Amino acid sequence: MATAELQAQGRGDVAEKSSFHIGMVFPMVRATLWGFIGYYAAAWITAAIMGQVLFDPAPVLFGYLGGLTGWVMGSGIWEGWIRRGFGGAEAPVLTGVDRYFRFSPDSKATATRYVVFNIISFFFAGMAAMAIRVELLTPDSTSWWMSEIHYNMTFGIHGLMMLLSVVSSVIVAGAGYYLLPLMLGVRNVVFPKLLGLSWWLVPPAVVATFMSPLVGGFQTGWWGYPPLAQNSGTGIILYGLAAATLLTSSVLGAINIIGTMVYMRARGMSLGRVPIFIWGLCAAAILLTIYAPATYTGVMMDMSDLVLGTHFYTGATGHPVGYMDQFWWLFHPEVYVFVLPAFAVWLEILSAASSRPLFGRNWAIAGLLGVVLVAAFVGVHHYFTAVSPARFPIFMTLTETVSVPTGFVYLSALGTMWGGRLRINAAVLLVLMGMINFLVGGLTGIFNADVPADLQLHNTYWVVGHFHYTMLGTVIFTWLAALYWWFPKVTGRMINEFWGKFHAWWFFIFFNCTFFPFFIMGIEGMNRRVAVYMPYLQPINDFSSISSFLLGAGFLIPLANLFFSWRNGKKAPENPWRAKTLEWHTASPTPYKVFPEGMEPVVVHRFDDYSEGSPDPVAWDKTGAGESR
Amino acid sequence: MATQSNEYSSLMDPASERAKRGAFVFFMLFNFILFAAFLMERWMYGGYGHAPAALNTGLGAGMLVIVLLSIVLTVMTRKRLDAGDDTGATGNLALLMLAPILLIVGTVYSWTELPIGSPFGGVFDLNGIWFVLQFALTALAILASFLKGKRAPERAKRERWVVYNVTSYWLMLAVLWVGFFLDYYVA
Amino acid sequence: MAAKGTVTVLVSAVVCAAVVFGAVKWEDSVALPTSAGQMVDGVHHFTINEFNYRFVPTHMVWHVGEKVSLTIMNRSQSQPPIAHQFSLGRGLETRNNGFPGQPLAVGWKHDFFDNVPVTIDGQTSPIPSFSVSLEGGQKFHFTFVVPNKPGKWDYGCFLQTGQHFMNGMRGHVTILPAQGA
Repeated sequence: MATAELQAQGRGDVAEKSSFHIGMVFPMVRATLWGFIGYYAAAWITAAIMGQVLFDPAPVLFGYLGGLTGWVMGSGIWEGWIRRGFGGAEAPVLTGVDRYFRFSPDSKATATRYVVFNIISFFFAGMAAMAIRVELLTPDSTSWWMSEIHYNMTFGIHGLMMLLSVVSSVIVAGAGYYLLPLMLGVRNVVFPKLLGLSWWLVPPAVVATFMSPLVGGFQTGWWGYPPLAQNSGTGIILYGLAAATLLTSSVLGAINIIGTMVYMRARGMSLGRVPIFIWGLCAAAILLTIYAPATYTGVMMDMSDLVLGTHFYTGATGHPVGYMDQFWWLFHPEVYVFVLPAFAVWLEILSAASSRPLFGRNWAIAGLLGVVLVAAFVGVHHYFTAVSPARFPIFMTLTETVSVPTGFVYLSALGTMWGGRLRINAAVLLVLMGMINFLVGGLTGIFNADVPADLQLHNTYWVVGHFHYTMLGTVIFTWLAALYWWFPKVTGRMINEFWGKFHAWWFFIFFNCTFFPFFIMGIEGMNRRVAVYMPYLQPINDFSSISSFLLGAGFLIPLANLFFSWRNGKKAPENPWRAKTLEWHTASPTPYKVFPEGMEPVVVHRFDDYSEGSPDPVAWDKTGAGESR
Repeated sequence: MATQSNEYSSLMDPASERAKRGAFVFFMLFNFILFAAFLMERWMYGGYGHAPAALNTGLGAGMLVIVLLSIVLTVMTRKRLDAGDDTGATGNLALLMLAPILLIVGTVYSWTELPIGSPFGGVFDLNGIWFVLQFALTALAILASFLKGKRAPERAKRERWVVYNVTSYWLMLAVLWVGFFLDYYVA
Repeated sequence: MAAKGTVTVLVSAVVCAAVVFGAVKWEDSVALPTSAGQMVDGVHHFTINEFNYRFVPTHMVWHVGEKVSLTIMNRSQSQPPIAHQFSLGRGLETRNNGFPGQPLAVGWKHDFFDNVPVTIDGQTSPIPSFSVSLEGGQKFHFTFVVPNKPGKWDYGCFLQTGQHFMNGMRGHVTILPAQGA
């Protein structure tokens, strides 16, 4: 049966359209209220029992756990999962607009919720960045704006939120959870309820981090290094718990990614035919699964130092440097969790946009998995200045190894475009800009990895520039590209190309005006994480700050573009980019039941064959037909 | 209001039993590495010496016996499941639930023995907290499987992968606890 | 179904408001010392809690000639807890640290307790440049008669090169003329 014919079929009992009414939001309102009840009740009880105040460590710890429980219970997890798990009554899941506002096992609803919440989180963390840049307009710490202590809290919140609630999930969750089942040709992931839970863990952690100044904030930045962590305000408890919660949420997704990819591919989808984006997700998921545990133990030990009176990192018998090991064990590989799926998005988009097979596909996959292999070794460069000189060459070599597999991926992207006829739209433009930014970020990384240079550059704005090029310049550019590229899939409408391209140039220009000066500041000796700097650095800081305000204001353009295109954009054709992967073989916007009951896709050809007269890679067959295993 | 079945093997929860059991291994892998990290931290943070004399080895040995018995019981439960005897397996679950509960009691009791501020006591107690948390969750999961087997046997029969996964998880915890015993009490 | 949802939301909102309000009120009135202090047998008792990095309360009102009893408690939340100081005076003394416009806070130019007899453990004597520094968990108690130094006086903690003070660990005392005078 041809794809077009199949798409025209109805979806049985599921209503595709149900109008929105305010009662649908009640589960989310209820969850919020129960979250606050849980926090204050638990904190109050703990404080009353222990003779403490609400902003002491133990009440904050138990308050957070109570708040998390209240929020998750309010989400509808009781009816949707727990009650039936204990043999109680079965509650049907809602398939209309309702599912976006409550606990839902539908991976598409979960991914959509991720996108919306990522935007909210990005907005507030971006406002924190603007606050930082306002402070840096003058060399002293301006009393009218914020004190040094508030500056420290602000960059800590900005860093933690941008990393763990924005770049860690924008592509993996927002695009990944949506496309994972679709690209593999199944209707849902392997543990749909677990994936549904993963989103509900994100908002409480984000709210807790943004509200941490109310209990004293934290001064450590997103590292949380002891012993500063123990001396810098009770907000560090919320920092630790929020980081652990966000990691848990990532890990729940990671298990679904690997499980779905290994066990649930459509018939005929050999590993050689799995889309490269799924390989990118898989690489990220492997990293999370095997490296997150050591960092969890670090966070738990830090919490117990603060609340239970242990001395892992503090006191005469403590080893504060041990925390660094446990922290970077995951959080260096974590940057590859952010960036590998972004690479994979490049390859997916470039291949379709230039109508050419992926160049060196197997090498690209080897590159993605090769980064996984060396990821944890690379993390040692975070202690360059803390180890004996005898270890310098070892650390340097290990760190520079990562450029080899990364190079495979980059060359695959270049080779795919080479000699092709690239159709440039806003998404492709953003991918190309992301590649240029990554080139700058990657090349400056070599200086960080190089011992003689690093001893000079570490802890300066050079490093800040380097990771903003790889995170904001690569991941966020690619996120916007992915949003534009799969927007017709999710909403059935096209984005406004003019404003998409306009913003791409705006973003690219002001991004570079903001962050390229960071390299110069770093060489000139500007320390990172310090609210004050020497007056000779003021002109370049002012240039960077003013650029950053324009950069930040520019994000209103894609926000408005996405919103208005969603409401009244041009209706999208079935396959606007002439891509061949499986997600474009279903109707847009994706119906609740991705394809009609009783039919399954069968993969009969590779997806990236764009040559004249190449066969349709997907055929449709009756469910159960041809099952042999 | 449009609704859809929330049951396993309904259209929107299409994973096969093989997929559910296979993918659960990745979840267990994650938790296994977490515990392995804690077991290593006994040496990193607890010092290289023997366990302090104040540690109640008798209590530990008693808990070890419970763990070993529970492993036998779990293997028997799995055999019954494999043979299709779901009722028998459900009956075993009621007994199996005792194991995590007894272990929680034993672990909580053992916290009083060593000062938490000492290097060994700190990592011992924190490890215990993590075990207690996992024991409690597993006990709830076993209870859930047991109740589902009693209250909704038809559904439980369709969702046998749940019991498989719960017992797998318990086996992993039991093996890890044996490792914990060797690491903290014996070494 | 929708009606049930509305009731749940409304009840939750009421409970939420009650719990938040109750917890905050409890903290203000029970768990933390109040700004007003307590009058017992003609002695005005104040308790000052020192946290990282703030005082509770941050404002007190004394009257000239009034007998005041101060209890200072260090309730530092850090692990291990850190030391804090209570120093009362006026006129901030600063020192340049090399960064322009970033002077460090060092102490007060005029100490409030100059020539003021202070009673500690039954011993009464004036102590030059009197201030109280406490380790975490410690408590210190002293009494004195408010001298005739009306106006606004500030207190702060100048430990760790004045960073505690600059981070907001400060408060002020308003001294009014004698009551009934």
